[in-house]
Amino acid sequence: MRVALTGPTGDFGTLLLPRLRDDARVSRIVTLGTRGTSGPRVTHHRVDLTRYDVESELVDLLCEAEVEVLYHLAFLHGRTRSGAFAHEVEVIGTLHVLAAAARAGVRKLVVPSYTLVYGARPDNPVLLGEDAPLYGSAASRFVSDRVEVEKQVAAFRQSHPEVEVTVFRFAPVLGPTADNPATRFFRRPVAPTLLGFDPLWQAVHEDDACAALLHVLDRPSAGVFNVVSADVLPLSAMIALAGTRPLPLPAPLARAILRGLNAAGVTATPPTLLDYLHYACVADGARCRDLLGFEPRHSAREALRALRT
Amino acid sequence: MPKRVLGNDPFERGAAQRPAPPVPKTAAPPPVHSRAKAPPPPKRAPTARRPTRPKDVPGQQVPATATATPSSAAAAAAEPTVQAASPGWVTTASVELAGALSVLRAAAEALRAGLGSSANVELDVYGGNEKLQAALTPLADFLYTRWFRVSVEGAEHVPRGGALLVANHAGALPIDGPVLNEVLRRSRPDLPGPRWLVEDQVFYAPLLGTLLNRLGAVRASPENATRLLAEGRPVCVFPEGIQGIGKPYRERYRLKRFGRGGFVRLALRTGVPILPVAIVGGEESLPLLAKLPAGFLGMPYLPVTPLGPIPLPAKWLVRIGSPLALPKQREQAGGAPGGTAALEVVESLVEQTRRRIEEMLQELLRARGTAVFFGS
Repeated sequence: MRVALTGPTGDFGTLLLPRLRDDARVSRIVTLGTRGTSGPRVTHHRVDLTRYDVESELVDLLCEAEVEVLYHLAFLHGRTRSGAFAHEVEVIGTLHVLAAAARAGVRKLVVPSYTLVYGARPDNPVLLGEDAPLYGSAASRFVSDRVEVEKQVAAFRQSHPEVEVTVFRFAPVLGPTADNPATRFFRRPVAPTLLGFDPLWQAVHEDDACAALLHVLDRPSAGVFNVVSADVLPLSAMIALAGTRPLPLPAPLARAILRGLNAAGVTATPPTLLDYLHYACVADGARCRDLLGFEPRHSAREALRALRT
Repeated sequence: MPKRVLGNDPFERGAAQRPAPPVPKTAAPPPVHSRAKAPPPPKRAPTARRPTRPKDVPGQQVPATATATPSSAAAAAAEPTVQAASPGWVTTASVELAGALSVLRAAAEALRAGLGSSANVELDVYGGNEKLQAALTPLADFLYTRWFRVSVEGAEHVPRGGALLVANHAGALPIDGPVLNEVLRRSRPDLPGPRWLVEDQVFYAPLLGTLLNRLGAVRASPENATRLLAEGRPVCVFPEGIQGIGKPYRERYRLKRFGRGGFVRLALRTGVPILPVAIVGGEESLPLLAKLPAGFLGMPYLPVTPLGPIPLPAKWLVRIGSPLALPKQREQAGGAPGGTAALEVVESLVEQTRRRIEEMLQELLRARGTAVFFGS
C-alpha cells in the first residue's frame, strides 16, 4: 500500500513514521514537509504548505507516487509566537491538502484531531458523542485552529463522498516521546490547578494513538471517532501520576495572574484555556470501539506513567 | 388546599434550649476518668448526663451498656458497681473514640476530595468515587442514624429499571441529595446505585460541587439523566434548583417554581415513572440565615448558617410517594411521535407532582409536630 503523510516531523509525524516503516502492509511512504526524513521505502519531498501554489505541487507528487492513503499531520504542536503563521500552516494548509487529495484521487484521508475541540464547558454532558458541537476554546490558537480544520474536513466529507475521510479525535496524547501542550503541562515541575475544582480528564497513550491511525489503513473507516482511554481520571490524579506537584490557585486569581503575565509578555496562554482545568471535556469512545473495532490498549494511568520514562 | 403547617420553629420558641447532642469524641471520654477516679455525687450524675448519653452510644453494642450504666449509677453509687462497670465504660469509650476518629478521618478525606487534592484514581464516568464513598461510611452512618435519625416511608414504591424521584429542595446547602441517595442505598440495596442531579450553580461551586460529584452527584442535564436512567438507576431530581436552597428560613417548606418541567419531559421520553418525594428536616438542619456576596469565589452567594457547613441535628423524615399516572402513549401526551410532549400536558404533570409533594410535606410536618430536634 502506498502511503503519504504531510508534516512528517510534527507531533503525530514523528510518532507515526517509524511505525509506518515497520508496517508490512505499507510498500511505499511519501513524506511531504519542510524538513526532511529518510529511511527505507521513504521518499521525501520538500513541500511548504504556506505557499499559495502548493496545491498543484501536491497533486503532482500524490499522483506520481499513486498514493492511496494520505495522513494529514501537518499541525504545529509546539509553542509559537506567530499565530498568523500557524493559521497559514494549519487552516490554509489543510485547504490545499484537501483540494489536492480530491484532485489526485486519494482513496483515503486520515486527519487527527483532539477531543479538546469540543471545549471544556459547564454544560457538557458526562460523555461527549462525536455529534456534539465543536465549541473549542475561543482565544486559544491551538484549539481554535483545530476546530477550523475540522469544519473544513467536515465540509470536504460532504462534497467528496468518493474520498474516505477518517477524523480521529484523540484525548490528550501522552507518552515518552509525545510533545504537545498536554505533555508539557504534565512535565512541568508544578502544574497549576484551580482550587476547589477537579475536573475529569482522559488520556491516550501515544502507542494507542498511532495504533488507531494504522488500524484504519486497510479497513473501511469513514467518519469521526473519539479515541479515548477507557478510564476517566480527575485532574489531581493525572498530576500525581505524572509525578508533578499541583499548584492550586483560586480560579479568579489564576485568571488574573495569567492575564497579567500575558500583558507583560511573559506567557502567551489565553486565560480561556483555564476552562480545561475548570470544566470537564470527556468524550465517549463507544463509536470507535463498536464501528472500527479499535480500543486503546493502555489506560490513562499507564499513559501518564509513561510520561516519566 | 389544606391549611399550611410551617415547620415548627425550634429557634423562635426556645425549644432549642436543649443543647445539641455533641459529637461523641468530646462527650464520651471525660466521664470515664471522672468516674473511675472519684465518683461524682450520685444525684447530679444522671441529670447531667441524661440528655446527651443515649445519643452518644454507638449503634450496636450500646443497648446493654447504655441501659445498664445510667440506671445502675443512679440507683447505687456503691464502689463495686462502679468498678464492675468501668471496663464496660472503657470499652464503650474506646469504641466511641475510635468511631469518632474514623468519622473525623472520613470528614478530612471528604474535604481533600472537595479541594481537588485527593488524587484518587477510582472514578466512574460520572465522577463518582466508590472508594471515597466507602471511606466516608463511618461519617455517613453517624449522620444518617444518629445525627439526622432519618426515617423512611414508601421506599418500596421505587420500581426496578429506572425511576425519576422528584423531591423538594431544602436547606442552605444541598445535602438533601446525598441524604435521599443514602435512603435509597440503604432501603433498596437491590437496585442499581442511585444518583442525584444537581444544577450548575452547585455543581460548579468550588469545593462543594467537586465533593458532591465525588459522592455521586451528576450535573443536571437531559443527556446525563437519560444515560443514568438507561442504566436502570433511580435518579433523584430537585426541580426547584437553586431557588429551593436559596430561600430564607421563614419560607421553609414552601415549594418554589418547579423549573421548566424538564423532569416531566424526561419521564415521558424515557418512559420511566415519576415518584414524588417529600423530605423534611433539611430546612432546620441548615437554616439559611443570610447570603454573603461571593462573586470572588465564582459563586452566586455564600450561605450563612448557624454552624457553617455543620448541619444541626434535626430529625429527617423522607416519604416516597406512589408513582404518578403518566400518559402511556406519546400521542396521548399530545406530542408528535419522537417529538416533545405538548406544553399543557407537561405543565399539568408538573403541577400534579408539585401538589403531591406539597401534600406529603404537610402530612410529614404535622406528624412531626414540635419534635424537630427530639425523637429517634
